[in-house]
Amino acid sequence: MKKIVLVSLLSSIAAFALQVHPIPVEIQYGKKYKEFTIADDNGKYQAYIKKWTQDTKGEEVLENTNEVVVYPRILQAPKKIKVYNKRSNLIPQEKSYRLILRELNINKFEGQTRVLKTLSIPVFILPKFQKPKLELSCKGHALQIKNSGNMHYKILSITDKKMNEYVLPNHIKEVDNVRASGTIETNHGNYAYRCESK
Amino acid sequence: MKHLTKAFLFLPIFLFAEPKVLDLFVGTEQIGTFLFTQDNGKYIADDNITFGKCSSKNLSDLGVYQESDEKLFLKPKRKCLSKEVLSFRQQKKKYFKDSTSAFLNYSIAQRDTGVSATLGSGVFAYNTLFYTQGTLSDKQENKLENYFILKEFEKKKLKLGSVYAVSGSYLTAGYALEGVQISPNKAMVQNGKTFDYQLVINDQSTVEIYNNDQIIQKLTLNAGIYNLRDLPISHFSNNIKIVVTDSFGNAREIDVPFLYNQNILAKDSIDYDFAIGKDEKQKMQYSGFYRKGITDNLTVGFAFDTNRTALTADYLSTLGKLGLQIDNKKNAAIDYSYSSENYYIGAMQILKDKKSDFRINAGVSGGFGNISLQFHTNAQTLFGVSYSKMLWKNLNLSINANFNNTDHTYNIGARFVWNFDIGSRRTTLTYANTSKDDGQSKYIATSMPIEDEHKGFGYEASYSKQTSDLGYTSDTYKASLKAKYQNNFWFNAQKISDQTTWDLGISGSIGCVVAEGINCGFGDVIYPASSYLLEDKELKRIPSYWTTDVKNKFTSTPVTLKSGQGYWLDPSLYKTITGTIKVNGKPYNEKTFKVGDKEYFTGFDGEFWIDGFIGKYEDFIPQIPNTSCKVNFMNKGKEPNEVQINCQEKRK
Repeated sequence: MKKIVLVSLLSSIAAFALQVHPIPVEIQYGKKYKEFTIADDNGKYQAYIKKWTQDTKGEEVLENTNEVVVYPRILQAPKKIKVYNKRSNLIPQEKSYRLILRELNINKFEGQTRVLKTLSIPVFILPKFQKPKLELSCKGHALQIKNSGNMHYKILSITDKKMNEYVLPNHIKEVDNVRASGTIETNHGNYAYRCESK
Repeated sequence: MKHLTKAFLFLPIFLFAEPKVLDLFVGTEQIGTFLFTQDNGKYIADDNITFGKCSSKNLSDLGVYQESDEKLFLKPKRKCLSKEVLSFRQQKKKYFKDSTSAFLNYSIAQRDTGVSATLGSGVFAYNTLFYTQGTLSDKQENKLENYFILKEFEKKKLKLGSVYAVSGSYLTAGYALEGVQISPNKAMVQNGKTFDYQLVINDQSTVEIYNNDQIIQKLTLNAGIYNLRDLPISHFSNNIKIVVTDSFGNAREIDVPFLYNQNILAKDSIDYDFAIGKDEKQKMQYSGFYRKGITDNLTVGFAFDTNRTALTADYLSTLGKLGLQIDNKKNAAIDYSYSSENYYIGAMQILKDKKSDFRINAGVSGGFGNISLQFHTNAQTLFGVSYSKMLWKNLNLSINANFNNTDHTYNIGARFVWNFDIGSRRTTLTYANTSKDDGQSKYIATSMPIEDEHKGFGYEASYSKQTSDLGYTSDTYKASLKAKYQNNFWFNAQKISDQTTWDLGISGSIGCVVAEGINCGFGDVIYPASSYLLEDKELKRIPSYWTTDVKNKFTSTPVTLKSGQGYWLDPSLYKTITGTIKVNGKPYNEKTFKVGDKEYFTGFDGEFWIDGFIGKYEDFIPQIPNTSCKVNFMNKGKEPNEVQINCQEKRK
């Protein structure tokens, strides 16, 4: 489950001869920073950190933030990168950010064609007491997934359909055209649902 | 109305057991969260668990495990561990620093009988170490114990003063002399083959590698089989010790002194040592050797002392290492050694001055424990056997037996050592019982070591009782308190029968470096063969010639120091610099620029990041071809230093 997520993420990354470890980046309660490693044959990158929220439809919203910083911001792989939490981590609910790693094309010249990588890595600041809670409800052929806990959920699949969607705390994700009954596979375990007609 | 059911998904296999969602850990490394059910005591997961080379739903296929606090802790089987190579090869480039420095080692003890002090001072100037060491006491027993001047060149080193002449042969002698010695600078000239070792880690662990009790590397490794390549070693008296401490605090020590054969040199490499001087009886003596690698497997040479000269040859094959030595007085020595992953054997026969010395030792280790055997005959004949095994968790049993066939004496003993944690502190309990031909002794001890490198406290307490067959008994009580805060502090008390003695003291070092004034710090004792760094007021000992990456919050810089040398890490000279570059008012995006002879690059918005810039603020002069630049530091003295660089293209 959690392991499968990691493996699938890493295997997709491996296609770019790139390794980032560990994913996601989680700053544990009581820790000021988390260190992770990027390896990519001397690839050069610029790092940005963005606050990550979701809109009412569960779509990703990224905003500038000073709450968390990343060092170094310009780097050449292999490199250890530190993500610092500048605020108190006495938080009732997990905070989420996205670390964007954008590959640079140094001294590019005209006529050059090169595929450059951009990675968006989830960063979480964990609360002391972790209470995952998921509420499922049906609305027509749509399934509403409400995260009413204080941790993020990662939806890995709904019945046979593979997914890779996050539902942040106090957010709702609506998935259309689901089967009347099935199972949601998440990073916090499996949940069965059944939508019954009136 | 639609009804919703929330439940865990039960697969058919779980129908007959209560399933549990458990986090699976190897050490502190979480490898996944799985839905487990128990089937005849076995934990079966809902999905394949993959660890290293193994994959199975049945956890027992991956190793032994224990459930605790809704977590499962797995100790993987060796066959599951994936292999990894860890290279310790030092960069050929050494980042030598110039400095003038001095240190004073002190060990001052107050005993019930008086006060004594051992002092050692080293001055490093003109790339030369001047060292003296002596003891002072209020009993008028002052003495100079060691003094020398050491000059290390790129390929050799010269020592004047107290030297130990090394003969490099069983047939020739070494001497403690007051004189001169010349030998290769082994730290710079690599003659021997590299030292490799395979290490198996079952849980995430901290691994500390020591050579001759000096820590040379500390790292954290996840479970796996690691080939440690090119470990830093010197040529003589290597005693590599690896201490593996897992995340639960269980420590195991691995001694590997025999795996490296110092007598075999790489092809065309040479090794030598020459020394001449006066011994303690003021008699002139000399001693030394010269060896050359003829092939990668054959090394020949000669060794000599004041009285004799010997030819030496060592040959390494897949069957082991064979050594032969013959001197000009018809004496000879032959030795053989072989070691593999699980066993070793060594034998030696010396015929010298019509006397014979033969010894053989062998050992084997495995799941059953470690067994070693010794046999030694010269004027006397000795047999020895020892066995050790980890019985349960951290309870270690060792049994030793020795028998002297000449005077018919023996001793046989058993020792239990149990390591466990009280709170987060390691505690050791020891019980030993030894029977001898003339009596018996018992020993009980408890200790708590100081684990932190720089501060902490610890204790040792023991009781021993000796009973002789003639009816005499003696009781010995010992207690020792130790503390460390930059220096070492101790208090010892012991009572043997009715006599009580005690002592207390302090040992440590003060080191000073001349760099923009004199900067001093306190720390642990500095060996003349080590070097040290001063960070703030803290003195940190490091191995000499070993390139250390010195880190602060944001930066790291490599530093290599010579024997006895100190270096001050001036925070104002050691910076992380970040900021933006504009050329003609536009961001200088995705391009290179130089500072000094080093090249850096920018990202978008002209942003750059430089780790470990060494120099003053005025030394930070960025160079972009055909431009002139102005540098404006925004927050001097803070890390990271932020700077705005505005450049203008020069008119052609």
